[in-house]
Amino acid sequence: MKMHCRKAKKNISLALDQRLGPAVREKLQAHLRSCPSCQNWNQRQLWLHEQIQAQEMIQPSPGFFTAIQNKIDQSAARPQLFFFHPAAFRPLLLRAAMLLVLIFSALLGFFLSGILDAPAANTDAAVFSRTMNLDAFADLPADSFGAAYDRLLQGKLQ
Amino acid sequence: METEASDLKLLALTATGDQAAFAQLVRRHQSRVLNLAYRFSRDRQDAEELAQEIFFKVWRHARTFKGQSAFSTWLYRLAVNTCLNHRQRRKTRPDPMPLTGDLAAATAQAPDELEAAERGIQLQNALASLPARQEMALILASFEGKSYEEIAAVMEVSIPAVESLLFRARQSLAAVLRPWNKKSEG
Repeated sequence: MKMHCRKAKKNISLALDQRLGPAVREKLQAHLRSCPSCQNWNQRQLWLHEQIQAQEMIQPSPGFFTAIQNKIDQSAARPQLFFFHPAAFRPLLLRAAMLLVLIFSALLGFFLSGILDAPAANTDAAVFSRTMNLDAFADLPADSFGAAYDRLLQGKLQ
Repeated sequence: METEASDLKLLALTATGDQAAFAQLVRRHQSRVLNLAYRFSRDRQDAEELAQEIFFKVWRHARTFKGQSAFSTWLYRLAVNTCLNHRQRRKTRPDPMPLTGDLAAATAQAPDELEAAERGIQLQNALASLPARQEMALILASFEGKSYEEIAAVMEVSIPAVESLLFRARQSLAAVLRPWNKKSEG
């Protein structure tokens, strides 16, 4: 199968890093023989590869290690905010945070349940009772009209 | 293998605060780390500061090395991340190498040498135009001679990602240098 130019360019990149197997390499070479554009691209890549490899090497300056030493000394002289190494302190912080969340959730739960159990001072029945002053019938004899009326109203309210 | 074993020994001693062991570790690896930083920053002073920062991190984090990778992989990972973070913080393109300075020094040079110097400067400018991760992958592959597996371990990416980074970097460079290449091929 013929190699397309985009595939050929990818293979040229792999070939520069010795990543091509012999079979693919042969196909690439066959493509390069017949494709001037890819030949050109190959030449450019070879040149770039050589230029990058040929760049000058530099040596560390005489004070190189002394500068590192100074950084270490400055770091040691800085006041420590934590008694523990910060990396070791993180798990403790995490556990403390989880505990706080747990305590807060428990307190919130107790608070909310306290509100729900409170007498429903603002329910419709309580408001109607206060408005109509139905407690006024509380002392009436059991068989009086007022007591019957009171029972009727209470029954509707329940 | 022997070097790796002795690097691990030196690192273990460094973790206990042994400055002599740390100094030996620095001497062994300072050239590689410095030149990696130099390839990436293209500035000698920046490279020295970066390399010093990298070794300072080696001192500080020697205790955290768990031996899950080779020491050289760990060191290169530290170096690559420091360089990439430095570029991220700066968020400016490095200044291209001064063209006039080099040309002025080369007035007595033959035309071929002058052209070569100009090509070198254009290459530096082209490398500077690459995204940081593509440039780093290219430096590790072409200059450091690292395998794709090593680059993947150092940059903490997959091997196909390394292939893609390198291909895109080379594609971009070829496009940027095309006008020069067309001229020289005449």
